[in-house]
Amino acid sequence: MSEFAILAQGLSKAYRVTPSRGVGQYRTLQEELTRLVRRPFARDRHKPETFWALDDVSFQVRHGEALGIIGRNGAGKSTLLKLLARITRPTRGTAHVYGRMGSLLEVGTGFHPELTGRENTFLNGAILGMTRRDIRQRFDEIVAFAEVEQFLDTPVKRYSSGMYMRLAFAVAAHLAPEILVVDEVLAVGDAAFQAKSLGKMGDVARSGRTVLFVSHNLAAVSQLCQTVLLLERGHTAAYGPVEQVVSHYLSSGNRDGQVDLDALRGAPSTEPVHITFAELLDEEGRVCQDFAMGSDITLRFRLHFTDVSAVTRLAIAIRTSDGLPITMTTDVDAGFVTPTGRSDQRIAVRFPDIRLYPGEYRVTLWASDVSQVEVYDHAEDCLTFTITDGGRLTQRPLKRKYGVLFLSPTWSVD
Amino acid sequence: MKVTAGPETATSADHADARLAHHRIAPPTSWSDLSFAELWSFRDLFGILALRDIRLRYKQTAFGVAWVVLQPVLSSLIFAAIFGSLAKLPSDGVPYILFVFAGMLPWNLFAGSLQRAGNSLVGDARLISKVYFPRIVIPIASATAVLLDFAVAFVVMGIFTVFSGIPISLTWLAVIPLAALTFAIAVGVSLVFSALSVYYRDFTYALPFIIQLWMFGSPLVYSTSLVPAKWQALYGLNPMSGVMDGFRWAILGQREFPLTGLALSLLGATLLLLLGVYVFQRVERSFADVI
Repeated sequence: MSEFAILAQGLSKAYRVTPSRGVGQYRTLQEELTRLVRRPFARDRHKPETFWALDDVSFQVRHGEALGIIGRNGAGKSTLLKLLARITRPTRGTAHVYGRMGSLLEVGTGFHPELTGRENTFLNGAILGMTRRDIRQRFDEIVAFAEVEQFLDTPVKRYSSGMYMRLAFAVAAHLAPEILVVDEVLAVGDAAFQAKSLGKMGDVARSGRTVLFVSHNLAAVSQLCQTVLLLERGHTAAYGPVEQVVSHYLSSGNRDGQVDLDALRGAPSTEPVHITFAELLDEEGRVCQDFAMGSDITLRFRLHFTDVSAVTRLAIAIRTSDGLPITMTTDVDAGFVTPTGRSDQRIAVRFPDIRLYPGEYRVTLWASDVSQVEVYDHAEDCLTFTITDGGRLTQRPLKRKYGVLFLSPTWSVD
Repeated sequence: MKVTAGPETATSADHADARLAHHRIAPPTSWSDLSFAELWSFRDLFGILALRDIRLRYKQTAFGVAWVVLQPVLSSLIFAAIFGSLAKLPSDGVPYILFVFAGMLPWNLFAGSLQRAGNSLVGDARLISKVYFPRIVIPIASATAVLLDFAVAFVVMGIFTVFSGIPISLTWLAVIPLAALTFAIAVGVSLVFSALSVYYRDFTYALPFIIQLWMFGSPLVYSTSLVPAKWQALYGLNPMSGVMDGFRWAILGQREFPLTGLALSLLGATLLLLLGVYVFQRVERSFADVI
């Protein structure tokens, strides 16, 4: 019996990426046979490139500890979870996991729409590793929690989505795993359900169970976790106490007002639209990170369309370095529509006469589908800029504690 | 930093549960994946998945479970009409319909398992990419579900036989080990096909033809005695020919015990099972990455 719940050592996972085909797509026999027949000794023209989704990641989690895993999209968080959950195998490295691992949010995976609630409860429980006896013992409890008593013998395809989620969640929650994995990225259901499941997770963490929490929400991570692992392009960028790692994460975005998001992403995006590059420019069009109050800031970014007909909506948010939201603005507000038909588009957004108090600010970009339901890309805190001083507006020293927004009212004797 | 997971001294009282499951996650090696202890801990999943397959199969069909009876009876009638009445193939001295039905018992068990299990992994792709459990459970459970059809067809066989005036003898008991042998062959071949179809969907499309070809290479519509003597040895290499002769011996009692054929079937079943398990666990490791 180990004092650790998870001991991971040098975990690495390589995927082969064939340039013309994308990640891990299955081959047809014909493709391979024709290649063999035509040019038996030629090297495969689509020689796959190795892409390390995870590279030499080590960490330990004690029983009862909550480990936060943060990083940008494509940094390797999901790959790490898949390895720990044994869904896929590492290319190198080992990990020891002590205890049953369960996921609260990825519920209902084993549900079959044609089967009844009762049948699905047993099926899903068995898939998650419970024995028939375990399930029978907890069956009434599960059903009561899910509030689906009358519909037990109805196929779940006739359930409302709420009932479906409740039953799925109830099964997963009653699995009582020793190690709970929560991937916020995978969160499903409506806001109320997400809140319920995240609440349940908080209870679990406080009850002394081991928790792995993958999230973009730094506030939630800071609240729940003592230790945080920051991944960047598959590498461990930082690992240690939560305050240290979070501040490292926040400062690591960029240093010169420019960020190559494709390089940070690591794994190629499979969405129809993604943001490849972003930069901040001053009034002369130079890449810049320090601005005086009252100057114009231009945010320029590049979009790549894998589907040139895709229509996308864009949003920009600005936050202070300590996470206070300042503003969120969208292309809709300005009546702007990103033209379609080109695989690459460069967009410039000019913020004239910026009136923020001196301090550090972070920019987040989103690209979503036209209904803003599906997020195509999300570059959290991808750019940082600093407002250095009052510039042309005032010589007076401005302290952050007095505010965020500088207004220029007119004064008169009345 | 080197972290070892040796015997720990600082075990806290809260977590003194020595039965806590331990998993070692490591790069795959050749046979390392096959853990019978783990399969045993997932034993209930076999039954539940097999039950799921059975329940799903005849949902929203008008005849429902009656299809289990209708399918073999209808195909026997068709075979009897074409090969028995028209082509007048010899049938070892029993009514042709009984002859073909006795062969169809093991054949349908084999072909049905192969068909269902062969496509089973692709059908459960979502499950495979989201949750861990030993993947080998899926094709084996699919094949297990076909045992129900076998049992039902066997009862139908009994009724047929009694009505034709052939006495039911003690040799009928041999059907149990013979069915087990058929099942072993079916599982071995199914494992190979299910695993390969994850990588090459071509196998999904090729499977019906392979099954058909295999059927004509097996003594289903004709008797083994029809095969020329010089080809008998080669013919015996098809493990299904031995078991099908065995079924006819056990049920119809019209021929001598096919010792050589069954010995070859047993050998074939063992080799196919080993091959199936080997191929399956070799490719299983990357299912989630390609499916």
